[in-house]
Amino acid sequence: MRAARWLLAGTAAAVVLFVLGVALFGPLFAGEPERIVGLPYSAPAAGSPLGTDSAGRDVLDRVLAGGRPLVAVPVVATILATVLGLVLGLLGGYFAGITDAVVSRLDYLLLGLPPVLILLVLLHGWGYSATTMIIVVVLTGTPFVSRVTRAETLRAVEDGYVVAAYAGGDSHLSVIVREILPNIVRPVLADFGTRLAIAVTLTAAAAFLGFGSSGPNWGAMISQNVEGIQLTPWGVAVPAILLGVLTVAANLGIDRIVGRVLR
Amino acid sequence: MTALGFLARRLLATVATLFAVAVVLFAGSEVLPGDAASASLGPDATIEEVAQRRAELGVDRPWPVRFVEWGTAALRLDLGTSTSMHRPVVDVVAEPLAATGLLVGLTAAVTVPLAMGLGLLTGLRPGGRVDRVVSAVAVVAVSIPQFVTAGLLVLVFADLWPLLPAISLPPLGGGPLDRPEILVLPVAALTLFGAAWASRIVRATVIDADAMPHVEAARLAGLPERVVVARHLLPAAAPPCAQTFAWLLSGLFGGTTVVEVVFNYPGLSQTLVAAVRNHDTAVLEGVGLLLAAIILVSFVVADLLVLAVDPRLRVAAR
Repeated sequence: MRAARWLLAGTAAAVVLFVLGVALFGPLFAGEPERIVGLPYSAPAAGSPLGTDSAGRDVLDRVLAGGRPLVAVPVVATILATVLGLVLGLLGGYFAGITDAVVSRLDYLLLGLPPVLILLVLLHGWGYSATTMIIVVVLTGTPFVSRVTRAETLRAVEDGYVVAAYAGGDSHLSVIVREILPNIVRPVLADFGTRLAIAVTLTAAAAFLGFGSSGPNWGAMISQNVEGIQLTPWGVAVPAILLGVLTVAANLGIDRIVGRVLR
Repeated sequence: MTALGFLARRLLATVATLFAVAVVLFAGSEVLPGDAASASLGPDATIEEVAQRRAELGVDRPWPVRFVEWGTAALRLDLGTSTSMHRPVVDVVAEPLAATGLLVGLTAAVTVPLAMGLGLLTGLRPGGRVDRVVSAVAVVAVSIPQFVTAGLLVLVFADLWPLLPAISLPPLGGGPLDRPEILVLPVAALTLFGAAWASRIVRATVIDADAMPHVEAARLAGLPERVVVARHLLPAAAPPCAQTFAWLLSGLFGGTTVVEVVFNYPGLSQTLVAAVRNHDTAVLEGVGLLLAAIILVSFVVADLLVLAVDPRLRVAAR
């Protein structure tokens, strides 16, 4: 039983590392992902081991090159959303009153809009760019962080050590940074991985809907090649599986690591 | 607070939120530099042509004026005219909205009982064998993007084992219900995500409700498990569950956008994507406003359900 569990965990870790490796370092090994090497939707053959896509380009080259755009933007955006959500949630939870009302209204407004709608409205207004994507992820992710932070802050302000610090003459800033923050950071970071997975999903969804950068992208490959799925499945199957592993790994793996480091 | 007061406050908050959504949508799509005039003329247009077009479309006037015009027209259910299709937005979105509504409705009809069942099954025996298996599957299903799930479903059930159509196009001149088999895979893809997500929250709610004193008392009094769950546990768990399913609806309307693309289903996603591509501001704003209104109304309906099952608020209403 114990051995089986280790084997399972080891296999999972190996698969995740492999996918991360493909995403980060794949572009180094991708030949010319834009070159047309054969007829559209050709089956695997010598020279193109995964066949060709809807435009006759090599699927393997595009798979190797198409993961990196799904790593950088989500990671940066999720970190920004976490910091912003922490600040807003701390302000709302600590100062109560009008500050709290404003923060809460803003949160519920953004939570009520489907993320895809926010994505499309901003794509319409600004067009696609890494900055647009980061802002979309921040707008959809911040309210979640802010809600959790606010709830934890409300709990913390009641605690004796915060009251004691404030009664002892510490400034608001000092109480927030030195007393409250260290005590709420763990529950707030606990679902960092979940939010990262959502960010990867949104970034891939933009490409999937045809709005990504022009280069190869796992999300875009799925929608580009789904029509030829009965001719050759690899243009959909490989990016879909890699993208699935990437989001599951972000969701489960990162939360485990954060949990261990902060323990 | 009486039930009536509670309702009045909720309705007022809903109207206020819808107004805020309208401001955000308008600001996001019109105050920002996206420009329907230059988009509709193409890259070769001269500055004079663009200026003339802007005057034709009425986008050269200050935006507060345009917002008030747009908002008051929307109150009369007039969402303006599509700049790319030259038809009223209401006509453009009516059919796709019905098609997407059908998809969302069917998905909800499958997902709600499924999520309640799974949530009860796992929440009544947390840590048990069933719980561990279902929870592991649910976490994986929630993490995978919905269009990836949809793509994999097509791969398995339309390609490897060709049971169902890969493309969900209704017959010419007919609706999706004329060929019901085209709905199976899209609904399955949406349900997999929705049931996995909602069952996690139902599970947590059931665990909380199970620990309540009155549930424990009912169990200690020797009532059969069936009665304990149906009469004592479920009413306590119902309010958070109703909220969860209102959230689910919001998620489903977002999820359909990507799932529909995989299946070429003639729903709102095609309208939305085309609107963004053609800089059709009126359509984008109209669809956004309609979606937000539907979602906000579903939250109010969830509150009404809570009112119906929560005896404390019912007593207060008398």
